[in-house]
Amino acid sequence: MPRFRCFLLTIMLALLAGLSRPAPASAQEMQYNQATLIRSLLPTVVNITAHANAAPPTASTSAAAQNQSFELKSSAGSGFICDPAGVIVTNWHVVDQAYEIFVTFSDGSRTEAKVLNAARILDIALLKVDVGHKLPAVTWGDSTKMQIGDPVLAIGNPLGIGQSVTAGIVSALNRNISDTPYDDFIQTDAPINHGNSGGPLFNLQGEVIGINTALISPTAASAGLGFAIPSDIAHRVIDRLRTYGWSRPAFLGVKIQQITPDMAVALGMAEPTGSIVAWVTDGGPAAKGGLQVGDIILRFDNEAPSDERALLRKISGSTPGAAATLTVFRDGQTIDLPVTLGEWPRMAWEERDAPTVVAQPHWNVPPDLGVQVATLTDKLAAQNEIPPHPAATKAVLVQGVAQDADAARTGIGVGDLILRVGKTEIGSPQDWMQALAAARAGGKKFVMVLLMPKSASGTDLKMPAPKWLAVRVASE
Amino acid sequence: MIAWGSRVWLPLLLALALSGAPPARAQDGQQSQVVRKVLPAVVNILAHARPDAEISTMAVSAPQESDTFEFKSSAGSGFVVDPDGTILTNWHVVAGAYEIFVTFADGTRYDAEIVNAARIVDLALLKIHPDAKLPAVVWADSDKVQIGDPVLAIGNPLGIGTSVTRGIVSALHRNISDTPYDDFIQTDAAINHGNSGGPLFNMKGEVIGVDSAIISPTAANAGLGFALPANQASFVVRQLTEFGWVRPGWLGIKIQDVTPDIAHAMHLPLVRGAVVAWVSPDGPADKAGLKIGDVILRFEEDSPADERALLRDIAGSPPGRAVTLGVVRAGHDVSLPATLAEWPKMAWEAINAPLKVAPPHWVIPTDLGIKVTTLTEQVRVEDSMPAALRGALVLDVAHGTDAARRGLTPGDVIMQVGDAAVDSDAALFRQIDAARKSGQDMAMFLVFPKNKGTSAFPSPKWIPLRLSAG
Repeated sequence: MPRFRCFLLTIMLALLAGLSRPAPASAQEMQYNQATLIRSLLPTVVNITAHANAAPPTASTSAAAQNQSFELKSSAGSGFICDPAGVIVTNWHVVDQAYEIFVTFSDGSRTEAKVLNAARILDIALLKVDVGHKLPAVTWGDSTKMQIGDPVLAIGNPLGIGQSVTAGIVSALNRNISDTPYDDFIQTDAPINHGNSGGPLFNLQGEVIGINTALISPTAASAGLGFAIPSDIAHRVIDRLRTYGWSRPAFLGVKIQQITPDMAVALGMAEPTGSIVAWVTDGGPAAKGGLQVGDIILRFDNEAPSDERALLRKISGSTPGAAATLTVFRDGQTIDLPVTLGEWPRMAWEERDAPTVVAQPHWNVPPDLGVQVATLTDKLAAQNEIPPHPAATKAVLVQGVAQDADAARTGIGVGDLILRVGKTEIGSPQDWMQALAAARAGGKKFVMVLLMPKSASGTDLKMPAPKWLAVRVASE
Repeated sequence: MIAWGSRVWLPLLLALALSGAPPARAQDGQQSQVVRKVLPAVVNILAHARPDAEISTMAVSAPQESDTFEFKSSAGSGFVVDPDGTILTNWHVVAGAYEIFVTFADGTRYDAEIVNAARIVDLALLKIHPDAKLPAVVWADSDKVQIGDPVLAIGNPLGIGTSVTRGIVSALHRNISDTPYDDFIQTDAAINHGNSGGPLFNMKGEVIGVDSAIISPTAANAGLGFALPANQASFVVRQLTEFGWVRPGWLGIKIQDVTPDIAHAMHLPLVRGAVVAWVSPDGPADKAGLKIGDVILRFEEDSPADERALLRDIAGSPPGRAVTLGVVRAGHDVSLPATLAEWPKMAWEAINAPLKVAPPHWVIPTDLGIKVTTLTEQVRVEDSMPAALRGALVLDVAHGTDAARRGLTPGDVIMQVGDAAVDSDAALFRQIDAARKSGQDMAMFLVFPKNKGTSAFPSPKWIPLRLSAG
């Protein structure tokens, strides 16, 4: 008997395999196809660098920012092209607080991006780039068709090291990690790290089935627990942002809570199912439909949402003006309440959901760049223990750098030798000032400064150490 | 648009048609076969380094007297590149080591010594003396590796023993600022400390890289592992074997990447190439007329994307080769013919030759650094020891001694030295003396550990202890 059952199982497996897998391919072909698929996906994914002021002004107006201190915070993220005209999807948290955003494509080209729109509550932002040609856009997949165990590929910019592809499977679906009110994350074991945020999660058809958004780990590193916003939510919200200019959720006018096992006992329910109403907005769609505080919503249009988050997704995902039927448990009886969904009051919604604007910081670029220099004489070299170097026969020694100046941020420090500005050799403070003035007169924002770093002086002549820095000479 | 469309869609259709295809069975079978085939060529490496060993430019650090047995033990991986017993690993696995052990998957263990190194690319060659030919790995052409290819890493993660992990190629040509020539293959196969020096295999069982680094916000794998590509590693191995040093080509320049800011300041249309910051007087570049501020865009038929790519081109070219450099100078394209020289050997070796570390000269105290007394009835009862137990009770173990390192602790009872039972402190030292006189520099001590086991289930254990510096 056991043998027979085993036999039967084998046959059935073989049949199933035969039915669902018409063309067996060798491992080499599979490998070839995965590499080819990935090669076609890479150009649709971008790396994002966002510059924010780590010491942000208290007020968000640009006037107030003028005299505030500035400390550059550079953060890395990912994104993907959803429209060939140059619209890029990312997470809001990647570009939150950024005054300047750069997008790098898989071919290494780089361009500046602006925030086009956002749905902050869902942690989604849309960026716009203008590169003068069409860009390769992703194809959206259907996240509702994904199953636990399906293989997936994450592409992104983990820890800012550059575009990377990682592979894994769908570990779980509909995961709640208390990140948004609508949490419905796809969980994956494909390594996802900081910097992957905003990048796409692909199925093996090369369709986007999620936006990599979060990770859970006892440390800052991937622990095999990554989370992606499912494409059905993301795609819908992005469509609305682009059509209406905001995510325009439908509005029922209720505050609800998941029924917990304890509540079910207290309410005399057999099972802890549904969401209990804690508040009904006066004059709102729910109030008009006759919903009361204490009602337990069991079904929305005859579908039973698995939990509070699922019910909220059903409501907000509906079209304002649509009719719906709420099946409600009240006083031991199940009743149907017809309601007409409204639109969220836009002002109130956008206050929490629309992108916030950050002013450009003011660059502190004094006429001398805040860099005090002196002619490098033999005496000065001896005092400062600067060994002779053939590269530094004519130079100025940096004796002071204003710490709030842009030059300090660029990397000029006390003890460095400045050798040239562009092609001009610098041998005196006058040379320095004249070269900077000439650059400004020529309309330049940046100049090339050839520096002999203090740390590098005295190294082997066969291992010469000067380096070029691009230094800002104009504040605008 | 049409171009993009075809590039995106054609592969997608292919993938759709074949995506359901794998008879998983066959693949798994193939995978375990590959592992079985390559496993005998992979080794675990255990390196004992002196904590005081400094990585200096001195070729040999002076032998130092040491009265402690403290040392740093580190685990790594490696693989056989020559059947006669040459093993490749990372330099950082054996840096500072005075003794190195190599263990094969079948448990065979050999003493190994460093024969050569290219420290700047973190590679070292070890030599062992096997009785028979060893199975060596086969190198893959790492230029053919593609993002998405499945890979297997074999190594000794965290020193727990030979382990195989699987992943895909996540990225190519990765710069992690580890070497001047960074061109790493990135993988999501789990790579941890201890995997260093181990091979990364393709599914044909050929080595595509040497697992050399990880990036992680913690000490653990975060899915970001990096392997030095096989073509780079095999070049270094060949050069070291043939010439005794890497013997790279040399131009005599200091260059740096064109960053977006630099491109902006120099009015360059593309963020590409390398800008010259220094030209060595009378070096090959100087003779060719290269100037500070020139931007090098081409090296022969190659268009190196950045500083690292150009440095690889230069270093990988044979000295004496005539090359043409494509340069942008003041907005104009200039072609400069140059003849590569050999890196000044002394300067190269100063930063690349292996550093030899002399083994520490151990000083062993006459009493091994232990204080003992004859075990008494009272202690036996108090510590619930078996009534029949006789021996020398350890009262103190001097810090940093061989005895301390091997786990001897106060409260332990030494029962035997070799075959001879010791029933008192005097007997213990008589046996140690006798062993020394018979020429032994190590002896076996049977110890009844404190608070271990009961009268019914005693748990004595043997501990080898060093009697003299040897």
